[in-house]
Amino acid sequence: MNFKHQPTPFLRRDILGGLGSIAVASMLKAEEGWQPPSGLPVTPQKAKRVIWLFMRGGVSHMESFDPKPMLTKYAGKSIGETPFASVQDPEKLKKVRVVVVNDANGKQRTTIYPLQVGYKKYGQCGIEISDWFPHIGSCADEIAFIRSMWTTDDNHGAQVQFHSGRHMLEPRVPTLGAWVTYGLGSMTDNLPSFINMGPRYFDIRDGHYLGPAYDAVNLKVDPKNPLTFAAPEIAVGKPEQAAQFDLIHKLNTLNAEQYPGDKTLAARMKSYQLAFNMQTAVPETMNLDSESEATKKLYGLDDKVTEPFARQLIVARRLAERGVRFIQLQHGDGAAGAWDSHSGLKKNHSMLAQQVDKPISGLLKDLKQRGLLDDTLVVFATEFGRTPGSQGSDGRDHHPYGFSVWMAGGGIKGGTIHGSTDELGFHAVEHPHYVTDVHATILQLLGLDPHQLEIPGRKRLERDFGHVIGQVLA
Amino acid sequence: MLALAWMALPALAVDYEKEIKPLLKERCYACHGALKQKADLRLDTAAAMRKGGDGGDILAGDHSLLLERVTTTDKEDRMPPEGEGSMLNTEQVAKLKAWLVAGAPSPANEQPEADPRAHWAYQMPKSSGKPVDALLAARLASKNLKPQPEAEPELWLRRVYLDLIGLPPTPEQITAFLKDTSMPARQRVVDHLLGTPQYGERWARHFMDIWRYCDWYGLGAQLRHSQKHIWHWRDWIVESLNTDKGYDQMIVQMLAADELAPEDRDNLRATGFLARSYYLFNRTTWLDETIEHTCRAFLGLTMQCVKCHDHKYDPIEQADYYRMRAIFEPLHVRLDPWQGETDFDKNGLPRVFDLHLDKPTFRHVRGDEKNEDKSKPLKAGVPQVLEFASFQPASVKLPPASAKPALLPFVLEDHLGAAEREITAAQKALDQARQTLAKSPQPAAKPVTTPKVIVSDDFTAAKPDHWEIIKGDWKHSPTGVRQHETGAERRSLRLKPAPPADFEASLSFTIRGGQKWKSVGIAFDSADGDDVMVYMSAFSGGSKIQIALASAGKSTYPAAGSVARPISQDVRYTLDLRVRGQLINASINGEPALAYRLPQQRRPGSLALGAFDADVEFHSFKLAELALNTVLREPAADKLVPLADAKAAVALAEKQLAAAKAKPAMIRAVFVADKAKQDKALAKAAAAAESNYKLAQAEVDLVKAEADLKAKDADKKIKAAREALEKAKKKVAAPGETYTSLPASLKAQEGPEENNNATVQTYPENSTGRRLAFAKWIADKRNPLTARVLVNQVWMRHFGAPLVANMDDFGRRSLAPLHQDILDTLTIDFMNSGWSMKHLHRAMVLSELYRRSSSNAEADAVTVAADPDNASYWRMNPRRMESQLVRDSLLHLAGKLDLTLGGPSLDPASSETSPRRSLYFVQNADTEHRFLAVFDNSNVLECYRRNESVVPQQALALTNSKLSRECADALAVKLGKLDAELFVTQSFLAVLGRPPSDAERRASLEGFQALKQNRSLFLQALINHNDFVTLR
Repeated sequence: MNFKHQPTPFLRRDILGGLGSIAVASMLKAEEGWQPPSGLPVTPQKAKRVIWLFMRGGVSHMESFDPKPMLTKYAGKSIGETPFASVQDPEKLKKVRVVVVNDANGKQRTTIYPLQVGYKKYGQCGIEISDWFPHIGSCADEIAFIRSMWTTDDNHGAQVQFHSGRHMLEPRVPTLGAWVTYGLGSMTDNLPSFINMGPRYFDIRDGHYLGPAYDAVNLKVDPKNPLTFAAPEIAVGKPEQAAQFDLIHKLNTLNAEQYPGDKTLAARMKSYQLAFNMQTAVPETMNLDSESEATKKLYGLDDKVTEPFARQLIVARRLAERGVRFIQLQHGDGAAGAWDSHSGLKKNHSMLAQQVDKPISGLLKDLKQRGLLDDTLVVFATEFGRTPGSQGSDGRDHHPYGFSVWMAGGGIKGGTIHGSTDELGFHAVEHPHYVTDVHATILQLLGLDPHQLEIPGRKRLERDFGHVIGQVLA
Repeated sequence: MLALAWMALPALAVDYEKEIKPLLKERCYACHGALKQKADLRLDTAAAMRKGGDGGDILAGDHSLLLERVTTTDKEDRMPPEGEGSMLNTEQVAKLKAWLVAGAPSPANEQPEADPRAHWAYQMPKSSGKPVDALLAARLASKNLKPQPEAEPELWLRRVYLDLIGLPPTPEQITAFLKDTSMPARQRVVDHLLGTPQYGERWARHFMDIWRYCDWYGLGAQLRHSQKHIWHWRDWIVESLNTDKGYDQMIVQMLAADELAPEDRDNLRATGFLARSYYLFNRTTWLDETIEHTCRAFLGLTMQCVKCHDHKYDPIEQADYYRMRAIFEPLHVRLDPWQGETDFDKNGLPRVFDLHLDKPTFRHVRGDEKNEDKSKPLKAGVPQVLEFASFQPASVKLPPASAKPALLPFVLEDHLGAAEREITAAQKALDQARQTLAKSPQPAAKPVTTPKVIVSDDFTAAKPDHWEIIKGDWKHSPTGVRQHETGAERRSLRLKPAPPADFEASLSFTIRGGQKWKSVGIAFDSADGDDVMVYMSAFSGGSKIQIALASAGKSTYPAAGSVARPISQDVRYTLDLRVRGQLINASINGEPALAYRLPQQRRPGSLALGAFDADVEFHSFKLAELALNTVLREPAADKLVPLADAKAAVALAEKQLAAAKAKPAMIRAVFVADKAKQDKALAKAAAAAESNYKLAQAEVDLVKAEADLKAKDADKKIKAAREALEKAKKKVAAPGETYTSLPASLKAQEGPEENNNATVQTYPENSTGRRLAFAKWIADKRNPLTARVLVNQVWMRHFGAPLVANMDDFGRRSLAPLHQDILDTLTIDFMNSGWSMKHLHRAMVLSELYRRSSSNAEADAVTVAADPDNASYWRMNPRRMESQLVRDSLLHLAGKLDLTLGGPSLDPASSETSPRRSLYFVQNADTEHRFLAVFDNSNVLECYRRNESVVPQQALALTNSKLSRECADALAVKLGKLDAELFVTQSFLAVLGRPPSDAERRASLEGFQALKQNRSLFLQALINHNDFVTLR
């Protein structure tokens, strides 16, 4: 073979995801009757890929997608003085498992803090969305909002929980993205099938017992240095490197004659082909020169505030177009995450919302105009909501009892409002959903059975597989 | 009837054996099978189902009890019960129905599940008395399989080098070996490798995987997981392997060295195994991990599910879990001192001990830590199925130094040594401070001639002919003139007479208040918005003397014109100013404070006394011509420490020296009192010595507080320091009998709510002995699991595939292995050798199997077809290097590897530049090693077996990393200027451990030309050859 620039055969799942399966399979081949997933959907597939937008730190649900006018009405009162005192029933607060004992945060905040932003109705569905997210509001009819999420960690370990379904005090397990790539494998022979962009803190891995082959590959939106070892760290000419790859290929081909049927060797040869392609494909994906001005504007690439996230989202769309299966974006720096507004919520949230609002609506509109929204699932999530009560003079604390996420795209019924919290936004009361319900829904839309994902000795989750949220499906 | 139904079975859609029985096994047997018979019911044979349990035959009737219970929506009745598994799906129910409709046919001779206690792994291993090779040969023969021939000797050599020391052989070592490849020669190679220290490093890395080695991590500086200096445990592993310590001993030392031999400090390091699982936030999580991984690592026993309910597969009850927890219930972690170091941040010995000896253990209902069953505390114990002798822990009486680490023989010496070093350092600091003081600028000499006085005013009354009020509210009184207004603007008294060009001015004032800046000074050369102002500011964020230069109304504050000085409110100061040409000297209370040279020529202008945001009282002002003989200091002199600072520094150094000198007496007195125990006179002496030291320290603190005026709340701190000093004085007068022992131990925090400063000096004088009893039970020859699990772990690492598929689960889910005879024979042999790992390695790497080729080439077609996965080991399995081997081998073949043994964990960021072996870099869940990560680095949370993934990032790492290229460069230099042919041969030997085939030689020579004979790039291509990362 000649490592120049000729097109390579379309490989479905032989590389990356598939190779990981080889690793796992060889490890566990003694287990009877078990087969790794075929890489094909087992149920009708509505979406082929996922763009996962995770807001780190905890977005206030009341000031984003679940406005609560009662907070303004009872501002300054203690919860006990309102007609909704029952939300503080200790029985209802029991589900939380504390990790950081006696932390200054993660406490009950009982003095009601008024809404810090107005809201209005959007779209045919008439969903009320806060004035900090007008652009997302303009896409309301594409989106299914789930206003009744709950989780059990009242600290930022809930980020791990939202990605994996398991609490921080329990062993780490693979994240949703790892299961998706394990179950479905790759659609590209030029790029990794599971990518992460943006900061992570509490768990920097995804694969865990599935193995590092299912860890997300971290990309930076920098065409010069997008991926570790993507370019020679000590300069070498392109022809020389092509000659090197050529020689490697020839020698490994000769080796394959000495070791016929060696699957690992065959896999390694393919991995060199992919590596060679990735060296071009990854920087090419990061390079936005070919994007039209209209597209750049649509995402807000022309504005200093929206530029960083806009860039990531355009790259996310380009990755989606190029066959990447799971594109995981993390927004908000710092260990806890930037959205963590214990004080100065108004200033903090309005600024962060501005950073993401237009880029996200740009992504939805762009995917739609390219016909990609039909089979791309876009998920907007955060680890928990924020307390209806105030923390200090102008902040809100962590709130695991009720919060909002939304989904749009492949297989999702747009313009849906599903579930609700009580009048104060305290508890998820109508159709409450634990985080794995979101996972189960995504897996089903991708054509996977949430119960069937396993390797010998390990099921996806031993419990709380999650229930598909049927009401948000088209 | 049954027999007839069985006969009819082939015609049916549902096959009991294939479709019904596996379903029942998976979903029902745990409670209704051999393990348990809830409701007196078993489902493991159709006959048992017909016999039924409390409710009778469960198969009878149109809607049989079986069908009823798996389809009902009644939560009370449903099977499996809620929380024990989901309901059967419709397809499964349909199959069950079809089977029942067909009359529930089953084979006539259907056997019930075997007694769980009869599971193979719970029986003692028995040796066949035959060599491994003979057993394998017999198995191959019986299956009609033909083994592959021996691999080339150089491939065998590369295998043993990488397997035993983790480094490939050099071309010289290969050439030497090829001269004699006989068995004795091979034995010599193996003996040599097992005798090198690199053997211990290589195998330590394997055990660091299994035992979850992990350096401490947390959030920033907060330690949440593991312990500081846990690397001592790593070094203990390396050393133990190198001395071939028995594996049984290693287990006992890791779990209970503190109880086994409390004074054996070398082996206390072993308890890092338990210290590693320390978790700040949750005691249950900590103990869960301890139990889970102790059992999986040593026993191949999965205990994690028993935390919530009885085991679904193995005869282990939930209570067994909490009996095991009771073994660890008293466990805690601390840092003991490391000889030669008194600072626990720098070094210390992480170790475990029993702290809360009487803490009861309760079962957590359904594994919920908030829901303890307080009705009965559980006694420490081991699962009954494996209790070959009764579990009888015996309390261990600890030697005094275990309970009180301050009594360790080296502690006194180390503390005295540290104190001596402090004295030396303090003396040195004092000497330096004195030298600095000697060089400090001295007050200017009095002028010889009397210069002409322009104005001299005590401000008791207004003198309108002298002064013009520019702004502010000025009121005269017998003590001077006071300006009350504050706020950020300048308020001045302008002097009407023109000042001389070179002048001497002296202003005496007291600052009484101000909102923030509280600045007072003298402005001169004022004209058209330009002026020069020298002022003193009592700003609480940093009081100072400062020169401000105004130009067209805009002020600049040159850094060279600013000196921090202690300036307070309500203190009277005299600011003396001497100006000659562009040179300005300022003194405060007669001490030189500032010398500054103006950057530009001066322009004449008026002079004024100013207050900026200051309520100030001016007491006197005098302006005179500057005497010709007055010597002014140049700014360079300011680089010297101002006199006041230099004096303060000397005062501080003196106090510090005094404190340092008081320390040894305290250390001795405290040590003697500690050792004597309960001796009142000695305790008094210790308390007295301590109070003396603390007094000296309090004086130091006060001087420090007084000097640090920029500190936040400086006033409060000074006040606190004064109070502390008073207290210390009182204590000296009446020291009492209580004193603080030497800080010779640091107890790990028992949860985040405990004070950070967990310096505890006294611990229990007994240990429960539970861990020792537990460890001895694990490391007992009668334990059927321990040695088997180890043999399987070592086997997998030499042969690429384990004998028992699940490294960490030998329970009933693990079928009896195909090669149980081999496993058991090796196990008995291993235990009889004194649990010697080196003995075990020899048995494996010197076997015929280990010499076998890993290739399928020219293999017997029947064999390949019958056993494609090589379950019978008819050939060797190729393996991929672990990440550490890839990096270490690269450095080694480049001749760069640093073989230094042991020591503190190294900064992970340096792993791409440092030449140390890979096991020495910090490893924890927070740390990512770019290079190691792509080759499946060990997972610190659990790693019983490394993954061997093949991903393109590996190709990128080997083609694009600086590391691979630099190693290729270095190897190119090492190989020298050989001709192309010889270069190719030597390159193959160096990188792949073998010469090239003819075809490879031709391809390589072509490639070498295509690379324009760039030797480095050619070698880098070979590094990317599949055989480099493979143990062929």
